Amino acid sequence: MRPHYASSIASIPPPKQQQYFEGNRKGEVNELKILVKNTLSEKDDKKKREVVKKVIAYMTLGIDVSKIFPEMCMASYTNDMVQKKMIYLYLTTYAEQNKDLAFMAISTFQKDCKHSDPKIRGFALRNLCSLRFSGAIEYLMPAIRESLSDIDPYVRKTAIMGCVKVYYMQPEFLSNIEEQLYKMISDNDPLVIINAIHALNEILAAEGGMALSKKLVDYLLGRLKEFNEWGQATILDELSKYQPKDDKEMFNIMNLLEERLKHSCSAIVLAVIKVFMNFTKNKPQVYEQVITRVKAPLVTLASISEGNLEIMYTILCHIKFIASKGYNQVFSQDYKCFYCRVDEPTYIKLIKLEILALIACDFNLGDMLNELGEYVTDVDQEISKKSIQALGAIALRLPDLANAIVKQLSSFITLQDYITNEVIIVFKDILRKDPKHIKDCLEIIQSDSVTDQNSKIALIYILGQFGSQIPLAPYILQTFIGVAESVELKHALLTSCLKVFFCRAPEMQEILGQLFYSIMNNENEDIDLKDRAAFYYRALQNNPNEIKKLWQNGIKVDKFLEEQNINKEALLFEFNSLSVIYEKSVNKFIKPAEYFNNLRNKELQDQIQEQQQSTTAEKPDPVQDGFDIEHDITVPNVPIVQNQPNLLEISEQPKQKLIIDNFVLDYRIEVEYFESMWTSLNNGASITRTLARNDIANENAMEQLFNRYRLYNIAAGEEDNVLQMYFYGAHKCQVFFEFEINRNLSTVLLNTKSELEDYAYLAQKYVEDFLKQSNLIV
Amino acid sequence: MFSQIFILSPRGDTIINRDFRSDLPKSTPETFFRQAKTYSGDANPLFAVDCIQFAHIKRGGLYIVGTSRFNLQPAMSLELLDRLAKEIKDFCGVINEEVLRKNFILIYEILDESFDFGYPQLMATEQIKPLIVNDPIQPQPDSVMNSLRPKIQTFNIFVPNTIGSQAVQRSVLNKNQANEIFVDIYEKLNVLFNSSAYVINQSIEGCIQMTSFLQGNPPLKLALNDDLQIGRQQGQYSAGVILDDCNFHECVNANELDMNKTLRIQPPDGQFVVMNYRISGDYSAPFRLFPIIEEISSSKIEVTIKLKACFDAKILASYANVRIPIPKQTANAYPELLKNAQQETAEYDSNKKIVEWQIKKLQGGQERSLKIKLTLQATQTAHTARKEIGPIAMNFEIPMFNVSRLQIKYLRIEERGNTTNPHRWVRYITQSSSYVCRI
Repeated sequence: MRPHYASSIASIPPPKQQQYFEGNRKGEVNELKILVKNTLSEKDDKKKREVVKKVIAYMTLGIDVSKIFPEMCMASYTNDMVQKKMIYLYLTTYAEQNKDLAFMAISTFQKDCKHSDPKIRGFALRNLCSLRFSGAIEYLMPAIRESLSDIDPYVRKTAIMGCVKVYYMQPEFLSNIEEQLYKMISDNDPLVIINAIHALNEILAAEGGMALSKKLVDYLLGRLKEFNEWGQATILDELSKYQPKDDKEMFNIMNLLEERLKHSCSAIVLAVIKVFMNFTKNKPQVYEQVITRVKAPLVTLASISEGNLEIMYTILCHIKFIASKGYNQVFSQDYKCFYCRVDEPTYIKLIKLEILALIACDFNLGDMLNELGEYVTDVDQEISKKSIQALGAIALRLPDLANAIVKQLSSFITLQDYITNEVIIVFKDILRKDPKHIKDCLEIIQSDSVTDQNSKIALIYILGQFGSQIPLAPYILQTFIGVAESVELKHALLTSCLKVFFCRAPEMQEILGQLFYSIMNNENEDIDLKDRAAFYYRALQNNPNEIKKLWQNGIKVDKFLEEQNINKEALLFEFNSLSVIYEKSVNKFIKPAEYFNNLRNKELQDQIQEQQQSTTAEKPDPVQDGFDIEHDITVPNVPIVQNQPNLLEISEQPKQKLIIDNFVLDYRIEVEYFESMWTSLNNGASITRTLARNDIANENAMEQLFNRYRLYNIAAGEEDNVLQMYFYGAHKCQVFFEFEINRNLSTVLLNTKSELEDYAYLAQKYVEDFLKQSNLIV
Repeated sequence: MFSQIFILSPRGDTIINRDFRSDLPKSTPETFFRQAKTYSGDANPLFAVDCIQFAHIKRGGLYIVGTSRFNLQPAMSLELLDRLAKEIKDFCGVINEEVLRKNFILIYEILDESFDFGYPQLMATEQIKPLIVNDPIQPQPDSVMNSLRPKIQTFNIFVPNTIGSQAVQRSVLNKNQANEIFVDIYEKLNVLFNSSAYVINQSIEGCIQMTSFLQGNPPLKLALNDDLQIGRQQGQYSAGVILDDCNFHECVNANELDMNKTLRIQPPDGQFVVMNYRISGDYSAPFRLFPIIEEISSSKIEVTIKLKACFDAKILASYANVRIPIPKQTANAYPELLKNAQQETAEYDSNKKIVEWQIKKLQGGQERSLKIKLTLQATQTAHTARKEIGPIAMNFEIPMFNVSRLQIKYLRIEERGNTTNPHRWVRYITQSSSYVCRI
């Protein structure tokens, strides 16, 4: 598919036949690099555009084109906006991996930030802020601070987003920014206001986001209509966190917002409903009025969303949510709106069936049973099963009407295997709650065989529970004995056979004996099942009457799972959030940022390993640096140890050398963590060398040098001409360094610690090598 | 707020991929596509994989996906993606794979202005227009037509299949744009008949959609029927047009609707829906179906279907397709048209066990009929198999016809400068949504 895409970009000259490796991406990228280099000197903007476009096309496909970074930096000094936009997109994407070179590009960004055209100022600032590496901060902050008070709102709103970006890189640079952001909420431009709200919510997330005062609420509501749909939805979402001081204020706000329910944008309607719900949650009567009032707009959105089926689904989820919280009768009149339509995708039909099951009541049940009955024969099995489940759910919820449903379900049972299977499961639930329906199920249970595992278990349960009323029960149970089935099923079978035995001992005795025999004499049988069988066997031998008593005085069930109401309050809070869609509380599907950072690091690591494997034969590219090294870094092409660190294996003295790609890019740890590790670990490796070069023996240069080799600084200090720095990094395991340059003695000291000593040693060699290459030591 | 937005082709290739926050793995497009493929039908628009939230919409076969690590407002995220799709449509004219591949740089530009750090920024077409530097690249004309008329039309509910709507498939960036506005009144019919042609359930979902190429976005005044009434009282009878409920676009001021049935509109550029409405009341269905099933022998069934067009003879339905599912155990089926049938085809798809009856043009008042002769496999008898016939579903489109009688009385451009009077095009289109006859 990749070549297809490349070829669809018209008028790009075909790649020259210089491929180093046929069909190798690396070859293509190298060619592209040459192409970009050659076109740089061209005057023709059109040609240049096409080349840059090609680079972006590659980038989109996920091919790593970061190698072209220096060329693209050069190309960024253009006045052609078409090229500039593409190049900036490229630079922001790859700056993270090319920190040193990214500095080259910064000056262009800075220049554009002072352009006379606000569009270009905003554009440059947005991209400058998207350069994701810590070194950029010092250039960034002055630009942001200046732009926050730019005369053009486009620049101001971009600057605010810049603050959020900085917050995720180095929050300490943002001291006292909150005050300014709060001030910007009174800006003239609605987008500036919205961005300020977003920024405050992110920066103050730990304190629960932006603080809402009555004054602020009044102000935002007064200007509500100036905002676009998304702005309104954002403000309304903020408002839902607010608690009005008294009823008067509450009703004022609600009256003001009521006409927003007529909006065709579902985001606004749902946000308004959330406000209403949260305001009135402690006033049951008003709350119920609210639900009645919001019904029509919800049903309208669920019927037509400009052909937007996805929105329709979301609204249906919210209707189901409200209906399941005890307000199902609100929607009972509109049941026909939830009938499935032929042109709807499965996900909509399924949610509609769930809603129908919830809103069924005595006056609509007749129609609804017919309708649901039609769905049972739907070609889509999922729909068919769901409609059977819906009928079952209605029977459980409305016991008075269960009889009709049981009869209807019985009529489906010969149609298809999957229908029979599902019906038996539903019967089990109905019978569990109300045993009197067994009369209507009798025929079905005895006449048909079921094929699905869960349905078989359901059938066995029914046979056990109603053994005395089902004439054929012992003989149907017998058919399951000795057949290769799951352990779960055998457990159910054992229980059911015992139950039937206690009421029909003469018939069952032999069958039960067969079952005991088949379980206890099977060598491969599950040990728990064997134990259970042996226990019953011995108990029956000892005193059958005693165990019969035990069984029959079983626990009486009067609370059913289906009747339990989930805590209304807890779920209510999450209206208009993904919780409603997934039907899960937030902590089940949301994880903190660190979790994803780990995922990203792992991904990077895997990617590096993959590259290593595919390019072991290829000579790595020279790393450009400012340390006057003409030769490449000697990076031996050692395949990476594939196995996880294993102490035994490592004790055999790993001979490999570490190379740069072994280390995790942008690995980050906390200072406290570093301290605790440093003090807890044993001394690893240690060397002292003579300092050979004084000009780079300073904090900044060292940090940059180590950074390039993917080792990161965590602390540094200088006293009496002694520079002390701490670094860390991670490959197979974490490594920690204490690095000291003593200019008085002209020595360089390096202490390395790691959880695995041999790795400390290897890392030590790695650092020593690059220090030598930079001529810092000899 | 989104972390990333990407657009995938129907086969899962990445066409557009934009990472705003760099806080999620880069492999999310693959993760998404793998998960989406686990659904038997279309994937749920919202799902989570490993605590990464995916919101997506499907337009023109393409997946437009947003990811996040936050607990999103579900409706807002989907509305945003929908808005993005509309922007792309406004700038490129149409939305499909070929157009997106050709215009990917332009789409990156749109994305860049529409979102910053994943937060929605400028999202109105006319706001972004001055900031865009790339020109749209139009696809080959014939390929547009192909992609516009997909064989199975499941998405873009309100896109007419047959009416030459080339006019609205234009980019708002077109410099030689005529000063004009298109107004469409779409109505989708939802009717359910039982076997004796009695209506069990019916409703209309409609909308007034505009596509504006007006220069300077002048305010508009749109007048509807005088007998229009919104909200239905229980058991009330009225000769007028009664809408059960309706809602309006952000740009619409509906304060005068109750008083003098007019809407004030501040139109944005490009396409937008002025008003959505739904009607649950009775109306006379434009088509009626009369199925007759006869058991000829224990292994043979004959199905006869009559279709009657119950609308004015001056009106012409541009197409009417009927799908008849037949028993799984069918050995063979022979659909037979009437001898004098014109512009009609009937085909049996033995894999899907469906007979497709397609009628190209159908004038009001006319009647058509189809006979299907079924032979069953030995394993099933005609008596049990006949239960598996149906439900019969219809698909049609009738231009210049609407069932609700909702009318546009006039569309006035309020502040007209010295320039020429802009063209105003008004169309009425009625389509089937779910038009089903049970047997």
